[in-house]
Amino acid sequence: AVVGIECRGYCFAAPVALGLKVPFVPFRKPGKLPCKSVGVDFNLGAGGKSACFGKDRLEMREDGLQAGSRVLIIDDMLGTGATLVGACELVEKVNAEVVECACIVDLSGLNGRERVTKPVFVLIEEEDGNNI
Amino acid sequence: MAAPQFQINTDGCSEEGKQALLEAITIVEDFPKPGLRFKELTNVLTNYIAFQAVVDAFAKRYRAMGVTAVVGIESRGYAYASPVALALGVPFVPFRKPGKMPCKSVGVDFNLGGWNKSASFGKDRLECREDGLKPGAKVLIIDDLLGTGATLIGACALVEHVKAEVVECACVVDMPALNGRTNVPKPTFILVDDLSTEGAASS
Repeated sequence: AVVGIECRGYCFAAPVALGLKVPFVPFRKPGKLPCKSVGVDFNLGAGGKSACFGKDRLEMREDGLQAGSRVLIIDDMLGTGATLVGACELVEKVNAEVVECACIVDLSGLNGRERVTKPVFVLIEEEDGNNI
Repeated sequence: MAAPQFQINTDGCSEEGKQALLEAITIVEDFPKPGLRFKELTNVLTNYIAFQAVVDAFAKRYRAMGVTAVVGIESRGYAYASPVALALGVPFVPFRKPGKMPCKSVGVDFNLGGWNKSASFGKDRLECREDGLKPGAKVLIIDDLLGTGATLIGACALVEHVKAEVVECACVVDMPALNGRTNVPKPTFILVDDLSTEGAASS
């Protein structure tokens, strides 16, 4: 399964899920879903991504992710890692397994890779070593 | 609960795809207000046969219509618009709620529909990156669900604001009682029609 983080992550996660022929599971900010949902609260990082996640919570439809699924989590950008930490928790809350988190870029200096305890793959890295 | 009565308006996907799509639509009665039939589409996304069927149907239709850019409406529309744009080999242009973009952006303000959709669009504005959409582009706008049409009206206004042309608006489902098709001034295509009497779908 491929999880996409609302909302920029959806643009990348949806085509990847289709390409892999696996479920695309959208993770959403709170209060958007009329069906029964399951969620986790998590702490924002020092980088203050509050414009997107002021309520510090991610949710998904209750039956959205099967227990035992091997999950790829995709977001466009890795910042502090706080959102990915929350996403990993939600995957594990429903007894699925995080295989890896993937982002296109990361923001140097925010130590996102250290904060996220699961493997993280960043597609495009800066060359000058600022964020190594 | 009465069995849903749906009609799929495409020959662009397989029988298996159509069946998967019909089964994936979840009706939520009396949401967001009493008397309305909301269609929840998460199961379309989590069933790749159903999801691919939607993408195939839209891609077939819009390849034939010469679309040169696909706009997706934040945020549920992104999941459908992005793969369709890739299938057509054209730019995917995300339309966003205000204040999200660090780059120069352009936007339009628009009015909400007759019932309060403020949870999604409290600021009544859609924006895109300033250089995102080219003048003269032939644009397909995709959202997952057509309600009152207020958001699509705003999206059409933004497309025209940057001197591009709306070819059509496409949604997977609609809520016919909200008259979205009548309200949106551009051609609108709904992939799965709701034929129930509550819907009272306009022709």
